[in-house]
Amino acid sequence: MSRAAREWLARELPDWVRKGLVTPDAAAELGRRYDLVDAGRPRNVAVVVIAVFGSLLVGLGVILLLAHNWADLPRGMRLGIAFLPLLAAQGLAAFAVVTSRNGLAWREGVGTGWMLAVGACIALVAQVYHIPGDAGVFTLTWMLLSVPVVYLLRAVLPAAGVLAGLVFWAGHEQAFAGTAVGFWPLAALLAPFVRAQLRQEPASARTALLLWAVALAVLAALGITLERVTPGLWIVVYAGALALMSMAGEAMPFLSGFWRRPFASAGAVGTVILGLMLTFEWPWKEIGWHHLRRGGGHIAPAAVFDYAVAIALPLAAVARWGLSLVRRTGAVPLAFGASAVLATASFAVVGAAPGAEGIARIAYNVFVAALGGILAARGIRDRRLGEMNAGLLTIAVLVMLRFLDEDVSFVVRGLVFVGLGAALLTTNAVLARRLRREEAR
Amino acid sequence: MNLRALLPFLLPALFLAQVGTPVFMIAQREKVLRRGEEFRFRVAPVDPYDAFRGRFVWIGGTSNRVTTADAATYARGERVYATVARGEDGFALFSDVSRRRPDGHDWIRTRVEHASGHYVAVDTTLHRFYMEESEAPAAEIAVRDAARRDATNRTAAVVVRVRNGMAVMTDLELDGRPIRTVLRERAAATP
Repeated sequence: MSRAAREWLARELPDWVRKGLVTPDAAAELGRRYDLVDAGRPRNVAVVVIAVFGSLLVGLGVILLLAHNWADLPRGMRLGIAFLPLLAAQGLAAFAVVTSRNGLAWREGVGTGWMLAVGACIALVAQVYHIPGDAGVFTLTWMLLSVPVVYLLRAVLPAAGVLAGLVFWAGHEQAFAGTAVGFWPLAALLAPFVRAQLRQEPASARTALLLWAVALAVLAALGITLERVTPGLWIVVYAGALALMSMAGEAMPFLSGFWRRPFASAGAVGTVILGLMLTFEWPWKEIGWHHLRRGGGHIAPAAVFDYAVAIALPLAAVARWGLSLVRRTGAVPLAFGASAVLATASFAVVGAAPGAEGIARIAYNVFVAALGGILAARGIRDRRLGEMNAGLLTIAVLVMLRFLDEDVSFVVRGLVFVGLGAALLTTNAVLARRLRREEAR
Repeated sequence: MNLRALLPFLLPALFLAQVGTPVFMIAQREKVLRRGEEFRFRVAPVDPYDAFRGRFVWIGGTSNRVTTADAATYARGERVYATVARGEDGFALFSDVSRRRPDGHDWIRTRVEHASGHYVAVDTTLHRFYMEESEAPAAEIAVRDAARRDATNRTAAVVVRVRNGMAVMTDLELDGRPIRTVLRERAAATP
């Protein structure tokens, strides 16, 4: 099958699955058969990497040179020099657009250098005039002026840079200005780009990189922007976000591998970590509407955002979960999606009756064990060692945590740990042998 | 909507915005430098061990407290206008703070750092004085030597021009002379 055909298939498959033309399992099988994972990969990764790395080095080098701050140069000349990298980057970009040079290396490289040049120019002007460093205003200005770069060059790295900058800005605003809810509309400026990228090259490494940036930025910003007026609301919010993320990721079954499926991977890892945390006592202490926090820098109106996401995220997750139930998308998306349901129910129960905290903890022990089991089972069925180990590891960590925080003798602990280790090693050996035998056949 | 068709307009607009932002910053400061009133704010004697660590001198110890009757009504972080005036020693100080522009005076637009029963402490907006990287180590040694000989009578001040709410630093002075001149002389004096 030609490369173009594979790229085309990789583009079309998610749509077919969505419309029910192809079952997710069939899509996964097609993906494996035609090796679609590599379909979107640029022909020469090295060229792109070198272009980006080169422009990064040049950009950073120019900044360092200028930051040296030649006090002997007249102010006008120093200012002129500050504009050089920016004008050069603009010139290169204009050249790229006018001559329709749209190789990946060119776009990503120029885009990265351009974005750095915008920030460098503003920073250098600030230095010449000893302008007090308001990191918040500076970052926001820089990011807003960089968003068009992303669209103009359709470059993923500047997009990831903008997301990182916005997360930094949100942290700064939350600490110094009180609330950082503005992060969300600002981040949404990149939404059309992310969507277009997903539609045009769902299987490419660049899209994976972009989605990793999105996933990490969203998870970080959720934690930053929550106003925490209602204690414990973070449980509902994070469970909802992670469940949505993993279900959305699982909806692209033709991709495989941890790094290639950012939403599925981040959602799964996050759900497991959150689940493990919720088996402890501390997250459940003094939560709910009986313990509202007042004063002390907690801005009540900004908490409207908390409530909005605390309602919207679980609702969306449950709706999506119901959809997976109806469409029978398989046990893994169902299990991870169930996290939102469980978290919301637990929060409501514990919030109403603080004594019920024990039940929530038991439920989470069972839930995490089930997650691990389901993940391991799919790994074994699909012959994916990584997934199987992730599932087994989840169970192992859960058991270890329980034996560490309970009052159990060292002998029993020792025996349990030896047993767990042995089980991990044996299953791996068995599956590896089976894989080899199947390959030989 | 076809964005491609709009590109001949969008591209120059973007270039203009990216260049215009720093140009605007420059224009604002240049106006202050040309037409602003000159003040000298006393700063804490430069600490030779801390001040020259980076590429800039950390400006500290500037008096930022304004005694006022309604001090208790100001909240931390609130936007205010601080009136700049000259004290009896000729150095600048903040003489008043208000929520409205003080007409007929020089003032800066800033925020409240903290407020107590009878005074308001404002952000001076004078924090960093950038210097050349290579001058930092020399400055450190020079100022340390000077401090050892005569630690008490040194006056350090930032020279600032103020106009329309903005303060722009132009120099840092040690005993009334530009820091770079002082440094150069010391460098020449040490064999």
